[in-house]
Amino acid sequence: MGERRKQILKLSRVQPDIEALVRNHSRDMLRAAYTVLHNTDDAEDVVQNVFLKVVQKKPSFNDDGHSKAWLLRATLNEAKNMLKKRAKSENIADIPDGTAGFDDTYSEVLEAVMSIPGDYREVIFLYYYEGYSVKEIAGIIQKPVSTVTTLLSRARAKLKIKLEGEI
Amino acid sequence: MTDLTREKYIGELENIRFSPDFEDKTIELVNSLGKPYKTGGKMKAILAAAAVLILSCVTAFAMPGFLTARQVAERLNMTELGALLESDRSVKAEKSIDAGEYLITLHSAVSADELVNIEGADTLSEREYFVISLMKKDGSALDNTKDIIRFTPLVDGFNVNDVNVCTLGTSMHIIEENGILYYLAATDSLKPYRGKKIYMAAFDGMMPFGKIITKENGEFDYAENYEGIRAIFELPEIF
Repeated sequence: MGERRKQILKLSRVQPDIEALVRNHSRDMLRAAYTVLHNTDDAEDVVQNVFLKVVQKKPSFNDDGHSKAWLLRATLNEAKNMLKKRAKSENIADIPDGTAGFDDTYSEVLEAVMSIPGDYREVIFLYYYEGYSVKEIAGIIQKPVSTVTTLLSRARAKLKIKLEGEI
Repeated sequence: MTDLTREKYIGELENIRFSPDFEDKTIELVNSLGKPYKTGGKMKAILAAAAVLILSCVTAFAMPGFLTARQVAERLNMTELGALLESDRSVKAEKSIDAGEYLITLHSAVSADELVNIEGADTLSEREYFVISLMKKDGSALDNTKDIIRFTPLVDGFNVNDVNVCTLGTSMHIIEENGILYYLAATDSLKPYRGKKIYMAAFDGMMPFGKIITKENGEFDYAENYEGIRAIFELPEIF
């Protein structure tokens, strides 16, 4: 292979499709991070960190669905890591209080979801907001299908109590 | 959730306000690193169907001009991984599969669990690494931007739709040297599947995988109407 071929390859590998990833997926990633952190500023930090990791790791994706699942999983992991670090340094439990970033309208269901434990919030988000199947969620959060089914069932039960039978 | 409650939940989640210029700022941030890259790649429909070919053959693979697994990692700036791939901890498989006009070779595999500072082995938990090459048997050069096939891990006893390249969080780095494509695949830890046969299957085409790879008579095989490249490696035990 001559130098010319190498140059062509080099050029072809620097096309910035990262922009498409940001435009297509950051909206969902922000909400995934928010589901874990309950804080818009932290959610934005997490999502930016994930994109920096994408630049660093250069993963290849098969298609849009693959990239979305990968990015959501990375976001949830990164958000949980941030939560752990914060809890360790500040000795606080689980999610922070506050509703910064909410619109003025009363967010009854979201508040109920945000009041249940993190593992439950995660599956509720992936199932009801993202529309993933239980099997797909198992793949994303790296837990057995049976565990996801249990988490979803318990999350629904908790929400039912909180929303007084609305669910 | 009832449909009504679900709609409320989605609506309320949509109502959360993030920075209006978040996307622009993020793009500016990543571009400021000077490392924009191209994700994925359009795949060329490579082959017309050949006879079903699942080989667990072992072919000597020692030709001058080929990159070693270590060199592949080093070309990707993963020097620590390169050293690991050459160490006694790695499995030097060197198995080749004759897949029509292509020769696909599994060179080396290693579990990088114990490395904490290795590039790529961070919180995303990509821990098992495999180096695979793809070459044309007639010696003609492959093009990194066009002749790209894909690989997916498979685990015996698990449905292909449940355990695959997506669910195992597999990332694939591809480089080209002397017309040969080299793949560095990184997957989540496969230790949960210890004791089960693990495979790496080449494919081209679109998901769902269930329409490409099936499992009949207890063995992974390609679907009858699948017309792409066919090659399934049984991976060495690397734990």
